[in-house]
Amino acid sequence: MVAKPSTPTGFESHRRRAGIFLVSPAIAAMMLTSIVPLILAIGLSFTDYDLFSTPSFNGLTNYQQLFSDSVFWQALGNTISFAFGQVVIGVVAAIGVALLFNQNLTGGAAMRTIVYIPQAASYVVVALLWNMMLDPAMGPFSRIVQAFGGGPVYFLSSIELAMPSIVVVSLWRNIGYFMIIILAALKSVPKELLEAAALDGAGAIRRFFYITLPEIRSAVVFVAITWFLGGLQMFTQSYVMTGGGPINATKTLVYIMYDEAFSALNIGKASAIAVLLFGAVVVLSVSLRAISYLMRRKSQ
Amino acid sequence: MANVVLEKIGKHYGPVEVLKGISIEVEEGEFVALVGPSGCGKSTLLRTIAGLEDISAGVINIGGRVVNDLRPMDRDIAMVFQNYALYPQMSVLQNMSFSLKLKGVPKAQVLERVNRAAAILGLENLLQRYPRQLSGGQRQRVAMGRAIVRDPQVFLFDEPLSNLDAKLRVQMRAEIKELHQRLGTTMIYVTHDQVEAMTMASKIVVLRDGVVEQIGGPLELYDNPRNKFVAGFIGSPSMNLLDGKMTPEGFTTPDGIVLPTGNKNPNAVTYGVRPEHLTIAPTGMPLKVSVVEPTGFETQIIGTVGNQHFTGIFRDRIDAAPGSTIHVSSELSVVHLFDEKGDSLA
Amino acid sequence: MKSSKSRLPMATWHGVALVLAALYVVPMIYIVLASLTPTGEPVGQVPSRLEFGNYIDAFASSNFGLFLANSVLVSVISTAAQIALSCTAGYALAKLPLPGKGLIMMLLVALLVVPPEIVMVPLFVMSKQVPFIGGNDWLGNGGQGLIDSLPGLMAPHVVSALGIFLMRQFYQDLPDELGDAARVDGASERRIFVMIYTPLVMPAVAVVGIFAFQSAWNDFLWPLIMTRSTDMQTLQLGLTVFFQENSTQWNLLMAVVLTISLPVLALFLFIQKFFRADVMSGAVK
Repeated sequence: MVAKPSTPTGFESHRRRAGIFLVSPAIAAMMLTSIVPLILAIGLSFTDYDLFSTPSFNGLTNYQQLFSDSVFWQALGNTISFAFGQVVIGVVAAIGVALLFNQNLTGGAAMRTIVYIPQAASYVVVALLWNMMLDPAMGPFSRIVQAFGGGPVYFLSSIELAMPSIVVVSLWRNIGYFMIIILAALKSVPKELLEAAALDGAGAIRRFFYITLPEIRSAVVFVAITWFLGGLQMFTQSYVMTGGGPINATKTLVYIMYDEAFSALNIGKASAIAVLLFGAVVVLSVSLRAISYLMRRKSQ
Repeated sequence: MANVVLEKIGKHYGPVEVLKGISIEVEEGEFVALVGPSGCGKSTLLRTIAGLEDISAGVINIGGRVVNDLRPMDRDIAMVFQNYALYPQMSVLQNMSFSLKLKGVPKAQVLERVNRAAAILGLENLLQRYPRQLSGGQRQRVAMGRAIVRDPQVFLFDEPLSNLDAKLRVQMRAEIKELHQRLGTTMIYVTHDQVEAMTMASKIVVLRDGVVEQIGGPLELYDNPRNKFVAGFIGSPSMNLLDGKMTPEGFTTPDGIVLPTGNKNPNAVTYGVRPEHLTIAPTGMPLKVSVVEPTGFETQIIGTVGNQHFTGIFRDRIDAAPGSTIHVSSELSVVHLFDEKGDSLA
Repeated sequence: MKSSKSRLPMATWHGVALVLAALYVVPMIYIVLASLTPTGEPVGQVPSRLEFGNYIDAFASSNFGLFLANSVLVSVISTAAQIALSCTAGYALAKLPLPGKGLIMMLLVALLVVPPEIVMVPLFVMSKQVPFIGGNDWLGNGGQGLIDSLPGLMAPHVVSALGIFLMRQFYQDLPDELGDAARVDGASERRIFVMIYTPLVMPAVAVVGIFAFQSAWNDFLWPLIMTRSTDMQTLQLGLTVFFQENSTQWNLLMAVVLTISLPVLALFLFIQKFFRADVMSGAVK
């Protein structure tokens, strides 16, 4: 440190000691639960390790195996299509729902709470609920189709419908949370701006695209990043609703990481998946941040 | 009550020196104002006296005791902060008694002292209220009350009035001055407002860039500023300062306007005269009027002499049209001259 | 502004809102009805009678009472730990001089985006290798370490970068002069932290607390990895196992789902006033 305190008995060094004392437990805990495991993951990804014998270095073998494994590529594709699908539909829907609740609707507050409620439920609970709702025999959706003369719909056991169903169920749970964030941003759009635009003859659609959307941009970007990064970690919905099937159609990266570690006892390969996921998250968040920084600078 | 002696106080944050060897003596019971533009180091200096910041060099002496290494609580000082710093979660009573409770003063005595301070400041009816329920002026009084109950050797004020509106500021100014006369405690008062310093303090310390520019009584600084900075800082509106050089005829501006001076020091490069020392005189310097501001009590004229800015304040009501030229002059005794370095040529 | 033209869109808005609400209300009604359907009747229809005994049967048919206790213990203790660590570290980072503060802040911001799933496998390896615990020798070999234990279940939830970061933001927003005033008044650094600043960030503590509680309570992957015996299962895990083993007993399953969701929901709605979306998004910008 350059800003050295004058005397060793000085007041600033006293406060510094207090600071170190207060921050140390949290730093130690972060070290043990995040930083060391992260480093350990990188280290283990270069080893052959089955949890019981001593890890042995095997270079890039784990990565090579992954890259030549079709299930890995399928899981990667599933993860990206889940995260991407959820974010694209979700952001548009969340903006739409937020705009809806930004009107002075009768019973608006109650309806807003209802949309927000699933947020309190765990993914396990939501998944079980929708397992029932999407059941081919007794679920309402399948029954409606049948009432109109169709056959039972196998939402979760058809390759085409399984992942879209999980996307919709995840949207159902998460929209409330992101809607609230966008709603808060909408409420802080200056009324004068909208009124001035209305006086200038701008219609509702024009006002939305030229004033509202730019004003809530940073909230939308935050929602999109958070949601996408969250989507990359999807596991519980697949595990509970489809068990990763049918034929790996809903296996995600975290899912195959779990399989590798705890079914195949291949800790090294599981760590390699974790490292790749970590790399993707870092690259994504850094580049997104850089883009939004550049956009902000350009608009100034 | 105690005196405060600062000897060659230095402080740096890394390579940035904020206080450069400041020496000040504050007598027992004196009211001293530390004044200067923002960033001059006045607040930092006050905080080092309080013990809230360490010093890098020098000695701080309060009441004959070196306090360099003492913690704030052991220095027997009390401080009033700019934003009052009242504890929001505590009532006025709790705010005022906090320090005494920490000291372990018996409850009855705490109440007695708080009540006495509350009576001095007219806070008797507000003791159960919380800071958010108080007006700006009341908060200010509570902040002072919190200082008074401790009965400290020295009061430190850090721009205590700058969050108040103009009217209240004038009123609180008088109250603090009255408080000083009543308690007789040594007070050190930081402000960027030279009017506050002039009206309240018995001694003013003008600081700039971590250096003491001048120490003296209010009128001393007004009448005999040691340099161009003090001359410009003390007084409102500030002193007119015209560039030029000394010629045998007198001080001559680049536009060839000759200004009479008593002192003919050839080193003079700046001519200074206060706006309020000017009178209308047909033989005086030409002041080209750009704005006339009548306040009823006086008339302020803003314009240029040659092409340099110039302001005049006159007790008469002057009916000068913008764009016209009037002639003004002053007595030679109130003219200031400054050399290249900005030092006064008395 | 109140022209007849704006009437029609308002009606449309209401219609859309009702459809949206229905998407949420219908499944909730479904749970309630399913949970009251007598065993043997197909769920998804109006039951012939309301069988409240399902709630008793459900909890009797598995160890849900025990799972509930495990979940409560894990969630409450790790929430308390996370609040304590977030407050102390957040305060130190906001208000006290610290060597390497910039570095710590950079690490925290970086950790904000690291998904917990990424460290699950190595954290599991570390939990298994804790020396002297769970039958381990001093090298951490031989036993199962923290695996299948309550402390092991708490491990990933006792601290979070987000919690520390949020608390730092809140402490930061409070004026430094409060602490200075207290220092002059004679308060120790500990007292300033506990008595002056922390009472002023209680809303933030509530936010951090509910985040922590939710993440521990709703966690699924970690208990799935860490649990070997039925005794150590949490509700989320127990529920999933029950579903896998008795997939046709929707009525009992929904009775449990409803029972365990309601308390959290109540807590959630109660604390909702502390949820300020702008605070949450502001923390990450």
